[in-house]
Amino acid sequence: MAAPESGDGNNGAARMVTLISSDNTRFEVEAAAASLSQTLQLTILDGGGGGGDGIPLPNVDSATLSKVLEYCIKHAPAAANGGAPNATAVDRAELERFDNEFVNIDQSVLYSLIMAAHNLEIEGLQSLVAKKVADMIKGKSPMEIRRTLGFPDPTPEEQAEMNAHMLEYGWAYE
Amino acid sequence: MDMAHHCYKNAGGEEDDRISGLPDEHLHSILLLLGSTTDAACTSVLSRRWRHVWTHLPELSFRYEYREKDSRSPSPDVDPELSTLDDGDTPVSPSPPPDPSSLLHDFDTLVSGSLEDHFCIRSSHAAARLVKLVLLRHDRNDDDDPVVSDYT
Repeated sequence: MAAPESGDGNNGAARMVTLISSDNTRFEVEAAAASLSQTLQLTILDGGGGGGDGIPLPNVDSATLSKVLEYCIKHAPAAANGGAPNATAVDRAELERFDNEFVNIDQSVLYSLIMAAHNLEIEGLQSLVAKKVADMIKGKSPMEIRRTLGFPDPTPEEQAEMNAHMLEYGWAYE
Repeated sequence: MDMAHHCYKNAGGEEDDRISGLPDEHLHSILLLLGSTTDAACTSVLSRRWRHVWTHLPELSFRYEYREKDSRSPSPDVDPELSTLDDGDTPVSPSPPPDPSSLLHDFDTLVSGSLEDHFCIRSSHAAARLVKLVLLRHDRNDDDDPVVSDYT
């Protein structure tokens, strides 16, 4: 995995840690990037994950972890600057472009990312993926939401149930 | 979770629904981003899975449009409706907001009926730790000036 320039102030190479996915793939990544995960941060601060050890992540498979780390590596420099108050508009625009592109994914990948982001407590990623789903729902009628989320067409019973329900909750659909 | 990524398709050619399979807690963080509890409540019609998800939202947020009619004197008894929150297990005792009390007075007369509806439908709402009222005020200058009152 390509390492961005070190922003941690240490001279020499940035500290690396190893993460091990549920399917036993090892990922070597800068400690600064992995530390975007609140879950991992303490372990890393305690010196874990270095050398041959590696931090096992039994709930995250390699496909998902690879995607998560892509996000972390991209966002680590800005996070190291404390939310990058001195970031240029270009930097911010680039991150935004990256984020938009990043969540342009299949729903099953989105699902895995939501679970992993919560599991690893990566705040920015949690917000990003939650917002993606919220955007899929926002401003749509129930039938449109069902289509967007990929529900099967309602059976006649389901349809009747939905109609009755909408009558009961009429205030919400005004 | 399987590593190989399958892209299931339903009859409509879209991907099959995975979002409904998320734990409630995760769905809550999504519903909170919709901006209002009313919008979140709309998802209850989607399926049985979604029926009660919104009723356990940790925050409630309602938006009402308020149109300034004339100047009024502030009313001290601000929120008779909100006291209906107390009918659940967790007492929510809203303290009077510092500023927009006169607005809230109008707000009450304006929407008391529908607010009561909101809170009578699910008394589990009382578990919410935050009730947020966003009043959109349209005054003569036509600029939207949201007044947000938080009750914690």
